[in-house]
Amino acid sequence: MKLPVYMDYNATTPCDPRVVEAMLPYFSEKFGNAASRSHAFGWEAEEAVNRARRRVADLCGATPKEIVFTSGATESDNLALKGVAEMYREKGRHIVTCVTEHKAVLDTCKRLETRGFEVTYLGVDRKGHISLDELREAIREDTILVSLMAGNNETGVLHPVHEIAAVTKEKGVLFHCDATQAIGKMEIDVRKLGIDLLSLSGHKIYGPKGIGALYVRRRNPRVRLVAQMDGGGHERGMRSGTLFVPQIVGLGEACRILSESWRDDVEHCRTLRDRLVAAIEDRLDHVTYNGDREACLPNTANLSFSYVEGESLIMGIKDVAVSSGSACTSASLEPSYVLKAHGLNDELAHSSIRFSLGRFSTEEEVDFAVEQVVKTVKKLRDMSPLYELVQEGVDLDSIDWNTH
Amino acid sequence: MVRLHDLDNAATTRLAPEVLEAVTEALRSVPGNPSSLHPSGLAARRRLEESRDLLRGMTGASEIVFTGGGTEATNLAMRGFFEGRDGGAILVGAADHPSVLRTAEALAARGHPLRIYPVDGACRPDLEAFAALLDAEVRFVSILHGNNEVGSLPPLADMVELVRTKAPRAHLHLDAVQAFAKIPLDLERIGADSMTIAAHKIHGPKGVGALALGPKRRPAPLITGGGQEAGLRSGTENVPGAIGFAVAAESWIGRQTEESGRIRELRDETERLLRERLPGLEVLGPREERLPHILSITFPGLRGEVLMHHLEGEGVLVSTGSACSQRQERKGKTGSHVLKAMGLSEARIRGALRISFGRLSTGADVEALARALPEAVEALESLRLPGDR
Repeated sequence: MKLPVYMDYNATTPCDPRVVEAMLPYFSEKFGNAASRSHAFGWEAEEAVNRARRRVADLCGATPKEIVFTSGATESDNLALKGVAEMYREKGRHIVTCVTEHKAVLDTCKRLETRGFEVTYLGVDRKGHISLDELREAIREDTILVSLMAGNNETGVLHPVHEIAAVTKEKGVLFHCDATQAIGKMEIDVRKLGIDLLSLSGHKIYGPKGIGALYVRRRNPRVRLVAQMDGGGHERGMRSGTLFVPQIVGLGEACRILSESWRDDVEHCRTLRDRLVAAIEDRLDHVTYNGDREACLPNTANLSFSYVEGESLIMGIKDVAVSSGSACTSASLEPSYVLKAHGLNDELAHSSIRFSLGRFSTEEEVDFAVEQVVKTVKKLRDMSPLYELVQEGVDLDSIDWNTH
Repeated sequence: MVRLHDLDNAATTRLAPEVLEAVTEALRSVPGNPSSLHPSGLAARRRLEESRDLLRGMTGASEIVFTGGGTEATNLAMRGFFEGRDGGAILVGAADHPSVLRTAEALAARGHPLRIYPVDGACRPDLEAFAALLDAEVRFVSILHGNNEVGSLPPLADMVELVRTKAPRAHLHLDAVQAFAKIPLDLERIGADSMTIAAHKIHGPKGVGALALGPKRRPAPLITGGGQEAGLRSGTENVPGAIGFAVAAESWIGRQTEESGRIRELRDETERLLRERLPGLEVLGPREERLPHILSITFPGLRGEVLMHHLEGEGVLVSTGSACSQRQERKGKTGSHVLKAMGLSEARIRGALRISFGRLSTGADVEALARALPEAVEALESLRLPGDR
């Protein structure tokens, strides 16, 4: 077993060796500018791009013409939100999203607010769920778009995508779904689910970094976007810039592998995740499971360990690569805004750890991680006066700290 | 299979062997997310920052923002500057790359007056017209440092001085996608505020570029989210791409005099051979102030596209114009906007070919072209009807 054990698959996944192999020929002899239709290298590159586009489309139930390649899910989210906002701004200037969305959606909404759009941020309950009634009420005459993710990156909580789509369809507004985490971990079929725009990323599904895609529905309704980058007019005018063939091929291969075997991945991850959670809960008390045990990505478990300081815990289990909060905001050391939205107090949010497993995780790694976590939490709690009080039966909430 | 002679390096280049090695190594063994705080993330962060430092040094920039390519970098410079800003005119060149022109048009539609400076018959910016279009209302100027179709270089020092005196509040952007690594470039010494560069034009990977920034005037981000790249470009960083970019730049710039000198010799030798064998040949662009790797020629009365396909049959790859514009051409917008801006006749535009060299080009490529092109021209000439010219 190689240390540190990697349990941060929601932050990024290693490239599957098959993906690297598929990419290599396009880095060297089969190079070409995919827009250079005029000569042989260009054609070969274009063929590879078309094949990859079909594989991405197949994985999510779309047609190849509905797939726009981007530099990653963040760009996909930006393009979906800003592109729709700009295209439909005469129709309305209201967008609905949720407080637990990824920053790529939230910060883009903030940006749109400075451009004259209004955004409603739906709240979530303790398990991280939105209320469909609230969604229905939030949609107004001038609403043009609802953006809600499929699976949350920090907690794994699943939004009821199908039901959301039914509401947006009934109200006649577009539905963008950030499926960056969910793709490959559950069945995502844009037709069956009724999704109008869908973001996905290569490096979360064992593909390369720097590549992603946006699905843009072409029929019932035909969704139109204003490009957010101008240039050579690649990607049917929706996204300019030289196509990066090896990365597109890599994304295509990652999608092909998932189409073939995502159910195996799910089975594998779920078994290991359940083993991890069961072992930790069995051996430690005062562990909070953040999110929803049922409606959850199969690979993710977000746990808070009361009376333990989060950073000390991470330092204590340094042979296990996990994350506290999402990777993109973890550098800030602010308590996770997602967990705070669940109603967690700062202490519990600070003591949270996200375990996210993947294709290459093993039982041995899980058992090792459990040992590390149990040992470290016990050690830290042994030094904690609060935990001592709790063990003595004192209700901490009843103490008025100011009188001391 | 015929050995392919790639003489279309201004469109894109093959990965240099050392770049391929670096990118492959990174794909296999730098799996982390640079934003993660555990060792896997920190290792990725270290490699990313090393690459950034190298590029900062090689561009004379204060800051390097990695992007998904040159087009995005240019969009970031232009749209990022005008985000939240009302008014202010834009000045760009008639022969600029579509990423500059289309973005300028999009901004013009939002109320920023667009001014376009002309180029002369050699595709050099018309300094007088450039000066006449500059005034205090201009807030953004983009200069194409090295034209992608004919290789002409602008009188940069004069242009920079004009911008600074006549439009002191303007942001000065350089589109240096073709020039980077091939000729000395230093943002600070040039006195510009930002510069677009791209890896795949210098034997680096596609899908990675950068906006090099001077000390002031940060643009607003184009892509918002996790706040990567100092808040200027969100999204998990393409670490293998950044590593490949830095390696590619280093292997060229580290031996710039030799590498670019060798390419210039190949280009000049090609020109000499073609002139010798093809009396009807016309060379486009300036004689002196041009990039070392581009040779633009035309055969008035012949179709460049047909010549290109002929050459392709012989395994020699060239191009008719910029790859980026061929889609527009198929949509009926015929003819290169660059050659049109130069005021060339329809016949010269239709007969144009671009031959462009890279660090992997060899004398064998030159020989293959110098053999195949006269044959192709002869074959076409024989088909031409009298009076067709």
